[in-house]
Amino acid sequence: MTERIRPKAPRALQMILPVVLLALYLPLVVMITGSFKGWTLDWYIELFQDPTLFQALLRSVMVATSSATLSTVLAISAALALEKFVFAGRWPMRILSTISLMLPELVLSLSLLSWFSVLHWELSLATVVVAHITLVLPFAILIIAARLTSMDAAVEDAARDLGAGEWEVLSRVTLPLLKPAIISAFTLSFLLSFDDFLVTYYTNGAGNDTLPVKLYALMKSGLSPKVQALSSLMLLVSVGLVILLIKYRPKEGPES
Amino acid sequence: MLEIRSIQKTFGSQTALDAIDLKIEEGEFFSLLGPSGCGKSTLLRLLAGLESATSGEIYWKGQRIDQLPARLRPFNMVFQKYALFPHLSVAENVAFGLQLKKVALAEIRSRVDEALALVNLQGFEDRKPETLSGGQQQRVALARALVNRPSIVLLDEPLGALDQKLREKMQADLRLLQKRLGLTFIFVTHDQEEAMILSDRIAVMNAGRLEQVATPRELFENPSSLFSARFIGGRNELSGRAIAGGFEMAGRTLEGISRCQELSQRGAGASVCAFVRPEMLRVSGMSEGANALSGRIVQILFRGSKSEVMIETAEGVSLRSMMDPSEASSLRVGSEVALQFAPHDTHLFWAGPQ
Amino acid sequence: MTQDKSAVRFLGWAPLTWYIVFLMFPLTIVAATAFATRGLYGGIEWSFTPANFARAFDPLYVSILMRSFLLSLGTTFACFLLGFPFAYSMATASERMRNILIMLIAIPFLTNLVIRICALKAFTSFDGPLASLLTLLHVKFDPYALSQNGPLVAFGMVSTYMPLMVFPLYASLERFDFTLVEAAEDLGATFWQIATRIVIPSLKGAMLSGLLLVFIPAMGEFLIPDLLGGAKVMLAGNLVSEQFLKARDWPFGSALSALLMILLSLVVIAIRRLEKRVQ
Repeated sequence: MTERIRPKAPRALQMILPVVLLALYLPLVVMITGSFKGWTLDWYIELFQDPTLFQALLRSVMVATSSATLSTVLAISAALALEKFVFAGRWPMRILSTISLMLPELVLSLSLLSWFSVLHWELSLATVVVAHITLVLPFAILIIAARLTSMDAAVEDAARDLGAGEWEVLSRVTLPLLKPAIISAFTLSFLLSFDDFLVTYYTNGAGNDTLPVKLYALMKSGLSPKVQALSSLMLLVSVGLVILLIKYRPKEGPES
Repeated sequence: MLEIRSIQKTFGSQTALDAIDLKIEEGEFFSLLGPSGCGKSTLLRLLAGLESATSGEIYWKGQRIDQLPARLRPFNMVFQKYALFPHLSVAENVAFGLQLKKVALAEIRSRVDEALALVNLQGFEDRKPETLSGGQQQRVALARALVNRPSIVLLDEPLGALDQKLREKMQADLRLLQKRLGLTFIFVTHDQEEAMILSDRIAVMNAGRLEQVATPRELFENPSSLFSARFIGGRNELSGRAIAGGFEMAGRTLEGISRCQELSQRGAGASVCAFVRPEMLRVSGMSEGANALSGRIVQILFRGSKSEVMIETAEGVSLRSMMDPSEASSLRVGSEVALQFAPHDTHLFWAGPQ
Repeated sequence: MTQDKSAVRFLGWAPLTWYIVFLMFPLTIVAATAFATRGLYGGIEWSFTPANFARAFDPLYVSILMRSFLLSLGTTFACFLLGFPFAYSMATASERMRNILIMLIAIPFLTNLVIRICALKAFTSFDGPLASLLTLLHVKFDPYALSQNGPLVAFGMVSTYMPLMVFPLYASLERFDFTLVEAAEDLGATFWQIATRIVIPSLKGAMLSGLLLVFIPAMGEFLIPDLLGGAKVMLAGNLVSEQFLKARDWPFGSALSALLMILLSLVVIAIRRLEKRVQ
């Protein structure tokens, strides 16, 4: 498709672009550079020597990995059921998915908190994982379902014609073709879980802080350079993951 | 032999296939011909096992197979848009069916080579489908079906996406291949020329029903319904009425055309269509005898071995006559001529309300 | 559809069960708790009383809710005011520029909110760059209030939610037929006229999406007012959170949550109705 030059907006309006980007990035950049200048790498060293921070990081990674894995698996099942098979629970699932997308995180967290209390389920990292999965699931389903609908169904028919049973169609044709979407869904789920503060705050047991929650606690007691160093580090990791996510974004359009 | 008995397929309130009865012999190149929406692809998918019929049965060699899922049937399909697995190489695509049957690796290798050789794609084993041209992809799809040594090969308009030259070549290759391997091909197309060239027998379908099942020659010379006559195309179509005396059109009555008597008794205006092939319409300078229409020559087109003369009658009906170029050389554009055709070269069909 | 009777058909039950157990039941519990009363030591005494709902209509709480509503509305509006030019500039940029801009706007959005707030706080802290800049310009200010005030909360909200408004707007603009703009220019229209009469009317669907994506979460926002507003700014999110964690009055908190949900549902329904009318 030939690239058509589109008429640009007036200069004044275009100026908003750099202004907004500046407003978004300036604090971040300042923080990162600030954590080096004057404070040198000392704070980073102190950071790494703090055992509680390292534990928090570990917990974040563990929770994110579990949540991402489980929600990706559930999302694959859900997307397949919604698009492919005659499934009685289709409508309830669509409705519940829509509801969870529109629910403010706060309400989700508090309702899960109430539920866990009723079940007498003690708050721990397990409850956090459960909460994260519930939070992340609709997004994962969206990503995978989008790719499924744009996939050419004839390929699956071809597989059946050549002798594949339903599970084989799934494992040899459908899933391999869904790979980019599965990776995207996993990465997004991981990111959302890793970065999550609100849900974790309410559904976690005491002393089990994940990294964002730990950061929050530190921030509440003052803005030491150590905190800024931690933030900067997390920021750089996040950015790396985001770039990964965008690079391996599932391509739009049907594939033959 | 493949036997299709009273197959019915409805989608909700729509009937896609209505009481289809068909027998297809082994080794036949059999085509399902019809316009889009006539149900030919649906029937093919039913045979493949990708859809199930609402009612009716399918028998293969005496055994009932319509209850079997696609993977258990000894048929393989070549899909319209090829449906090659994009994440697998050409060789892996072709080997797919064999791998599922857990055939030994060495045998897979040799059979894949054999299949690729059949379609002239040796050397393409490691290529990915997206790097191939349309024609090459089509041949991979064919190889993928053939490698499994199916009893019947089902082809769903496989040549539709190819350009004219390539199509003609593929048509010839397909026919050769089918005869050489002695397989049964069931071919779906909307192109009547293609069906005529390739098939041993053709089933003309319209709105879910079989209009006519015959050899190409029979279909051409003796269309058995209005639809078939129109679909085969290229004929002169004359609309008029059937009366006791003959075929009435534009104030003239042409006698001797068969079925006039019978159709005139259908009442309701007895509107009919008469079909005359261009080769059967003779043009002469003088009006002689019965069964003559008159008109003016509008155009004369030279088509190599034949000339096409286009005439318009006083009533505005356009007619075509095909004749030897030497005959046409004596005709002039704009001159008034008489048109004649023999009654036995005319096919008459009921065109009134059903 | 396939006629093969395979167990694959039952795949869908797993995620559905999850939703039922971990979404539907919790929400039902909240609804039920809303009618209960607070036990002596902060537990739940199961009863059936509408007292919590009555209490929720106390002017104190209503004012908080109103403030949240106005702030969310204002945020949405500001996001659109800034987001439209941004999305328009993106859509009219070169292909390469567009991809870069997409990445630039996505990155802050997908990074941790706590971090971004931390950066904002550092920026506005009493010994941070903003303070230095203001001193340089001889502007009077209270150094300790610089990093905890109302306007900062507003800024935090808008900068956090802007990408959510830009995405749908950009998606729509990307497909927009800009030859219409060229035709309008040829006929002598100013940009303001073009924007208001041609472009924006075609964006109705995207604007509604943006509204949904910004307004709803903004109503439940807790972190931003908490960290950037200190004790002075209390919004619906903080209020509800307080009931659960500090006041240990779960029934009241549940009632407030339920009311919030009802309010939001009404907004969504209104938006959906508008959407249908637009189409």
